[in-house]
Amino acid sequence: MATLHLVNKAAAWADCEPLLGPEDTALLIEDGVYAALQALPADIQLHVLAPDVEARGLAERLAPSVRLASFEDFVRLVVGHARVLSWTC
Amino acid sequence: MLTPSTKGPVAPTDKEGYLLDLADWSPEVAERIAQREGIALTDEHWRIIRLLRDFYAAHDLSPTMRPLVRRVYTELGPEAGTSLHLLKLFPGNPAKIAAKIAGLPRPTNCL
Amino acid sequence: MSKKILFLLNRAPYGSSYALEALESVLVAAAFEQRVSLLFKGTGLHQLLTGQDGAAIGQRTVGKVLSALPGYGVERCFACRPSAERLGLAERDFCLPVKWLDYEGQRRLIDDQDIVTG
Repeated sequence: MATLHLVNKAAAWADCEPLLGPEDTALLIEDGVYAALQALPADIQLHVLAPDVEARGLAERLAPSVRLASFEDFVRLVVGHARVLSWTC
Repeated sequence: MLTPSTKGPVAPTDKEGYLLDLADWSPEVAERIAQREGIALTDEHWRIIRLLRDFYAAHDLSPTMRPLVRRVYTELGPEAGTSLHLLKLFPGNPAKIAAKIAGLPRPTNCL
Repeated sequence: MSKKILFLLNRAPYGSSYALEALESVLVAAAFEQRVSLLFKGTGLHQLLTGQDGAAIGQRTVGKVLSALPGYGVERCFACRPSAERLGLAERDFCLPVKWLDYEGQRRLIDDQDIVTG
């Protein structure tokens, strides 16, 4: 029963990361995408929303383990998980 | 509903009859509000009103029906602490009507 | 139909209306007889401090509202132990009894829910 963790502020990533289960996926959106500039653990399923990355000029700066997601991928991720947890701060 | 009496202190209320300023409450104001609701206050009513005011002082919250019944049950005993008893005292919607008379805000999320 | 709903409370009690608005949602969920749990994390733990008086800044007192929750049938309150250690908080500081959870316990709690919300 996996959870999709949505992170929309970079500062919320520190709260979210310790609670990622092995089956879980994290999707960084809006200002959460800045969290993908730092080195991130390679063993987590981490996606960033591509339009938010492009808008912020981060496309060439992302950590290598990060995967880009389109809005359609976003929808697929939401329906593919048992629950969605939005991290705020 | 009884016609509001012209005697006694008057305090401004909203359209539903809740006090606009909770500090305006007094036992006399409670009598007036009860009168508008068609209720003549007895000792039994006053026990509930005092309990409600204590609840609000402790929790910054007007209780809805279930927590109200629960609190009345623990404070005043099993005979008073039933929905039926509260419905007899404050017919219609006891949580809302008793809160109004006790000078508390309208309970939110009241079903 | 009753669902398991976890409210993740990680906002400070004052300074914004988030904490009180989340509490209103908790009360609604409880009124609809959902199986409600609360998880206090980070500065959200400050909602639990005893001795609050919101009236000093013209607001409702978050700690007082929280202390009403057992009467609403909300009795599953959890607190993030790593956050509390970081903030120097212990249960004697709190207005409600809590069950302490480490990260693994919090992951299991989340996994057990139908809905997790802020």
